[in-house]
Amino acid sequence: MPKDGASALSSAEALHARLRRQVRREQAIAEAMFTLSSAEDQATMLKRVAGLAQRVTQARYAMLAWMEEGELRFVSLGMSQRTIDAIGRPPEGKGLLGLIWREGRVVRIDEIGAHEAFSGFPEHHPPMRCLLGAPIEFAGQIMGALYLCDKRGGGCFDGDDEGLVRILAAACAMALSNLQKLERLRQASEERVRHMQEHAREIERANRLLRNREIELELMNEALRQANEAKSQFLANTSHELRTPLNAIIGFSDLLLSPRASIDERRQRTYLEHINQAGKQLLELINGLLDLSKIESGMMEIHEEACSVGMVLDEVLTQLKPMAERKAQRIAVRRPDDDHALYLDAVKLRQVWMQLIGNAIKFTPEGGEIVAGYGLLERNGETVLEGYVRDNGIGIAKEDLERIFEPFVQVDGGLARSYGGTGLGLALVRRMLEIQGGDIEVESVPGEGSRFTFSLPARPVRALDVAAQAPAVADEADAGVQVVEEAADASDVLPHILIVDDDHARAARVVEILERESYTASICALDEVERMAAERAPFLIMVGLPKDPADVYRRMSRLRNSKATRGASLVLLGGDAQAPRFSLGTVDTVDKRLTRTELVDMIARHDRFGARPRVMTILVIDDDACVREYIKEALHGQGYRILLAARGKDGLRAAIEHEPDLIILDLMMPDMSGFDVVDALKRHPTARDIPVIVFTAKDLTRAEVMRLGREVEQVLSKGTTSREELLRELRTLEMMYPAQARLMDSVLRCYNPRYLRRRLKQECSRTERYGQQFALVGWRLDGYEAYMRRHGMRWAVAALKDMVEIVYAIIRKGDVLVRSEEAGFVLVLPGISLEEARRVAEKVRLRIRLHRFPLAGQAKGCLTASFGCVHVREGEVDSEAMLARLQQRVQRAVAAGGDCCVSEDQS
Amino acid sequence: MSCIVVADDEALNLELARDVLKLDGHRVLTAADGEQAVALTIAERPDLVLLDVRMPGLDGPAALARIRADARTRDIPVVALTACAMLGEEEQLLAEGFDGYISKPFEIDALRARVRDMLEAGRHG
Repeated sequence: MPKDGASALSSAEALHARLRRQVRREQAIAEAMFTLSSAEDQATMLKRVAGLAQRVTQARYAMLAWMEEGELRFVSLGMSQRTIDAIGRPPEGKGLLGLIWREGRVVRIDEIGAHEAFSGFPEHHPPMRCLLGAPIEFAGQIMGALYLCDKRGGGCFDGDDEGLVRILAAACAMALSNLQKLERLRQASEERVRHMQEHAREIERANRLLRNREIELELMNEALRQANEAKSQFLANTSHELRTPLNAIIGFSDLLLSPRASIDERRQRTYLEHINQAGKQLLELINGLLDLSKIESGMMEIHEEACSVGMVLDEVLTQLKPMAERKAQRIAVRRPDDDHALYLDAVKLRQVWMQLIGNAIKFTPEGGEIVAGYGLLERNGETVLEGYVRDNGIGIAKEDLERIFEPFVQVDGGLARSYGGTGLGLALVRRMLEIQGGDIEVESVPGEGSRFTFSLPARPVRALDVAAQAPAVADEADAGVQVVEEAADASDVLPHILIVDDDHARAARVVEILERESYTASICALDEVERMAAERAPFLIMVGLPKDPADVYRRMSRLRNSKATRGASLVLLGGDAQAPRFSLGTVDTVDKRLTRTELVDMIARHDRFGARPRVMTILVIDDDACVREYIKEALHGQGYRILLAARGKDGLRAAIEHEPDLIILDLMMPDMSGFDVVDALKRHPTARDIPVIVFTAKDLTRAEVMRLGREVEQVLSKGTTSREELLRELRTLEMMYPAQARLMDSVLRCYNPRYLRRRLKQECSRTERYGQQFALVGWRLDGYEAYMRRHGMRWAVAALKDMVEIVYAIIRKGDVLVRSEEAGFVLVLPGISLEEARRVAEKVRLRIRLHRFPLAGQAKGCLTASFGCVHVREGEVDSEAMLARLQQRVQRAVAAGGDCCVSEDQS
Repeated sequence: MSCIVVADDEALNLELARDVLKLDGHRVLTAADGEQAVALTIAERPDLVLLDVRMPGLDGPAALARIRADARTRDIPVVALTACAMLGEEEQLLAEGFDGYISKPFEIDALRARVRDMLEAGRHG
């Protein structure tokens, strides 16, 4: 073969080989394109492209690194897994790789180790000689690198290899970029889908809300429809309930009036009874309806008063007993151990008991048992009365438990008449409890019985109030104490009560009660009432219930219409001498029983003179009956209430129980000496302050006189003390009972200047004797004369009255308020310093300034006052000097423009 | 003289109806509820039945249904007595099959006249 031929052949072979390589490369590129456009995941695709590059270029190693979701991913072909694991990390892209990755250059190096950028292989990395790499770059952004190392069988990468790698890298770039775009698109679309789903959910929610609303509306409609129906039903029921008794009334009276009917007398009477009964039923119904409507319209008033739950229950039981006895039922009562008196509306409580027990009797068969009980609970910090009534009667079906509290529902068969009643009882009970913050519940088992439990917030009456209710009983318990009571010295200024009563015993008992509370009362016949009223001007007339109740109306209307009596309040008087009952005005509540305290409260409300001064009670403790008689006689007709005790112990007990205003004490007594009595008295918290006069036949030693001098007011010797001296001594003690001594202001509820002078003298002598301090605060209302001229006397006095109330709200119990001039006042403040007095003055001044005083119509007036304070230790202890100093200071406050306080002399 | 059954759970009204009807010489049988009224009507076959509408247990309309359901008493005229007297009640009662309607309170002469009319109609009808 010629050389040319051989060379031609070899060049042909070389060409062929090149072509073959070319074809292989193009096949590889095509394959790579297919691969990269397949739907496989990024890593698989790229790995396959790297494999292609490796195969076609006959590279020993092929590596591909790329960023996927911010992370470097790496595939390496040609290295054993062990080597990969040993290296332990993907290339960092430093050194030579950095040229590709960071600078985006295509790199073809035949001797890696000789290259200036070579930074060494990582540990465990196999040695490599040549490198061919291209960045995977799209639109100027490098996303990774494809690189090959070492050709199989030696040799270096050539230009063809480089072209292939460039193309494959570009293809990868495109694919990656597309994929990333695709990914972004996918994410965007997912996002959109999510949004849409969210939106759909929102719509769903809105729809659900709408559906709920729709249901709500439907329910509301239903409720309205039911309410409307209930209203119609209520009207129908009311009409029915009104017509039923009316039918009897009209029908039977028709019968009685019918000329054709011949009705015998007995029958006539029966008919009249029927008419009467139906009339009462009708009245009860109308009252019930009115109560219900009052409650519904918020007009029902609640009148809280001190009352004993047990007593209310007893009254109800007394009234219902005959009804229960007819059915041979037993009513047991469960009372709590601590049966406190409570402030609550006794009338309403009574109605509740009445209804519940009445129902229990009605719905319990003969021989059944009923239990009524109550107790006090603490609930959320307030006291709650819980009462219950249990029966073993017919019971109530579960589905009816709520309905029974609706008007006109008696559960068997809707509106059942078989058990009587207005059908309003339980409805009223529930509403009445509810308006007072209470509630009622029912538990029941049909055929076994029911239990109604109600709760009612109530305020316990303080121990003091309870004690005040007790004395009537205490009197009888005082075996050793004789009570001598006398009417207060008949005085035309004391408020008077007239009693018109056929029952003389009852009237006398009431007089006794009233006089103990410092009222004057007189009993008179109905025919005398006008004359007596004209004479005594009573503020209250009590009318005893006559035997024939029909007479009540006649009496009441006579008193109402007579000029002499119509100004007075009227009170009905029921019960008997043992337990008189009182009732205000209306005939309906005539059986309502008031306790003594309530009676006094009630009278006080009718008493235009305001709070009553009390009768002075004097306790005489002496073992000598003659002495007791002597003192009793000496005090006779002087308007005192006298308690007589023969023994020291009795006297001590009486002193504690009755809290007399004064004790007259003998020193020599068999059981207990007067000294011991005094000591015991001084140890007792309430008896400690009762003044004691020692009345003794004993010649006292100096030590005894000293001892008594500190504890008692005065020592009088028996035999040498005349009646006059005794009375004089009492008069000086009347300081504490100023109403008797005419020491009160005639218009306002405070003391007058006479009292002030006496009291000041007393305070001054206490200061001298015992070193007790006291202060005076005086003030004058600024511009009072102008106020009076402008608004008239009436409103000026009203302002003064308001002011007195303001002051009483501020001062302590022992402080004394005196009206010293037309619009000038003085406060006597025992035991306090000038600084404290100044504070009191400031308080009063501010209260007056901020107060809105009443004027005609709804108008309000403003007033201020000028104040002065003095203290007993400021100068000489002299009452007149103190008063003068006080007046000067008040005067200076006035001169300073008013509404201020001066508490020192001008320097 | 006719025989009349009167039913009313309200004792006073029952007595009243009885005494009024007796004025005209009728024989009056009283029932305190629907059950008694039905039993009496079936037993005595009265010329007329007066039924209160609202009664516990068996009420007026229910008692009427029993009376009408029994062949022996189906043709006896039955009049409703009612204290309701709300609008539309008369129509409703007549629709339920009562032959007449008397509202309470009634005047006794009106009741007597009404009963007379019903008895007349019963005899001719």
